[in-house]
Amino acid sequence: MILQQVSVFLESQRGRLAPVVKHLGERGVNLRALMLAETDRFGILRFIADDPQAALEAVQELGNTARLSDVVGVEVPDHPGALGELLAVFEDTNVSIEYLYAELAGRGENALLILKLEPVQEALALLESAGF
Amino acid sequence: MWSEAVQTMPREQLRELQLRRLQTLVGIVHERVPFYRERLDAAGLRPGSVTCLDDLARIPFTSKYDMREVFPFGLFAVGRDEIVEVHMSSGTTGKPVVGAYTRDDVALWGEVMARTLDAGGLGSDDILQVAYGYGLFTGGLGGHYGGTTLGVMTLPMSSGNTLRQLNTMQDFGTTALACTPSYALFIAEYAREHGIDLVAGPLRAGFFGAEPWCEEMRADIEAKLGIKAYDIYGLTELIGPGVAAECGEQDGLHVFEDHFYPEIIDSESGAVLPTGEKGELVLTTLTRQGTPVLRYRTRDITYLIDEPCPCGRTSRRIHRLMGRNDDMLIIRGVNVFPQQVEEVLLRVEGVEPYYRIIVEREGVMDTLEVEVEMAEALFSDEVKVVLALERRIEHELRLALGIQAVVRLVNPKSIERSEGKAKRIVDRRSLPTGARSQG
Repeated sequence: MILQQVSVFLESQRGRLAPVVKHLGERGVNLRALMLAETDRFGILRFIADDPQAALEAVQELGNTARLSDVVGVEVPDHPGALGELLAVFEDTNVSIEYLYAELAGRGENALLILKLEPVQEALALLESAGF
Repeated sequence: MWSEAVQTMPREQLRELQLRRLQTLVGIVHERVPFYRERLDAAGLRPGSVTCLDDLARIPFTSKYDMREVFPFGLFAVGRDEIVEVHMSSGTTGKPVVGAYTRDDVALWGEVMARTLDAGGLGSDDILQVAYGYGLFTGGLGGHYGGTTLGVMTLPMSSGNTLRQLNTMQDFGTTALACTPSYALFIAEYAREHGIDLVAGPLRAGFFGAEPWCEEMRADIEAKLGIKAYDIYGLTELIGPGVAAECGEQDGLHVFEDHFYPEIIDSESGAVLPTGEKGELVLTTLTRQGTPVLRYRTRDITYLIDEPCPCGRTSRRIHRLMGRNDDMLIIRGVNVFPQQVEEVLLRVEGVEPYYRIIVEREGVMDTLEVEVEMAEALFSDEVKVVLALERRIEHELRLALGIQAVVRLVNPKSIERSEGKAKRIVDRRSLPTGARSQG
């Protein structure tokens, strides 16, 4: 399934992440999944929330640059080897995985993975035909 | 003393020489350079109007902006067939400023740079390593012509390749170094890291200019290299280095007044200030043939010293530069104007024209950082896209400025907006008081 992810630009300075997370909490945004990408120059916080639009606006209120982008959410069984089976779907195809992270809380027997896939339509078709 | 007769000429005689040369110059540029003819005519001046040196004050100023407007040949006072060499300095934006030299101009350059080196005690037994860049920049060839004119063994090293600089210094027993002060410190640091003791070696004098430096930096260079460090001054618009230089007293720079006439003006009103008052240095070339310049506004702040100098030179001195009255930065010897940065940013689609330039000195090297706001249109969830943007801006800056800049993306609206003159520059180097940009 397609999910809308919120991405937030973080300057590469101490103390840039905490105010963003705190503000999201105050605005009642629940973080379902998140990942922080960092370079020596800047960071990008990516997360999934129940209401992406509200989360985006909450971040923008703080003055941070942020945007929504489409990512793919895939449920995989919570057992060893499951991720390998998922990634095998894209072997020998045009699809590339830009990044990947996992939901914070499990979903019973399953875990939700968040993937940035290119090109996304081809990826979705492959996932569907593989039964994910 | 090199050219002792003219350097110790009684002041009255020097003034007569200056007046004669000024009158000739005004006649020549009025006849041959439309740019000057129009301005002299507009000011109601004819070649015969200059009857005393004070009449110079009636001649209109020439700015860097004027000079680049007539790029490349607009200021030539001789036919192109008489020009044997050309140098250029970066302009504020776009076109550079051209200095063109006849054979006599090149000889003049050698003469005034020979005086510069001689003032620092060099002679035919010395070995001079020129580590200013050779090329369109005037530092390298200016130092070179001075060395060869004075009869010093001259090593045309150009800048960079520091290990080779040090090896050459040791192999040849270099006694004098000419480079930017920041490169001198870099060489000193490099030598220390590689266990090379320069203090005990034959190196004894250094000729440093092309960027602002202060007394603390002089003390540092002198201690680390075991030399006397002389401040030298010049600019491409006039001739390059060789306009003024310190003597052994290290107390102000002697202006080579028989060739370059100094005035100090009030930057706002343009009025000539009395000797000793601080203001903007204005220079007139008295003997240049290729591209003579009338009353060039250097934007450098200093004052004239008229007391006799124990060295015997009778010329007036300028105090070490005390700053600039425009927003030009000199970073690693390269002139950088904030407008150049702005132009680059405007070329990159989606970038807001809000930026901050931060100059620091890390160890001995100047660093240039440009803060750019991360606009929504530029942002991506993918690291590689944002990195590519940074690299693209850095690449464009490098092409435009000629030096490496580091781009740092910052939050939108985090750079101060200003109705008037925005605070675009943060200069954290320890420079002479007032040398920080006023931008």
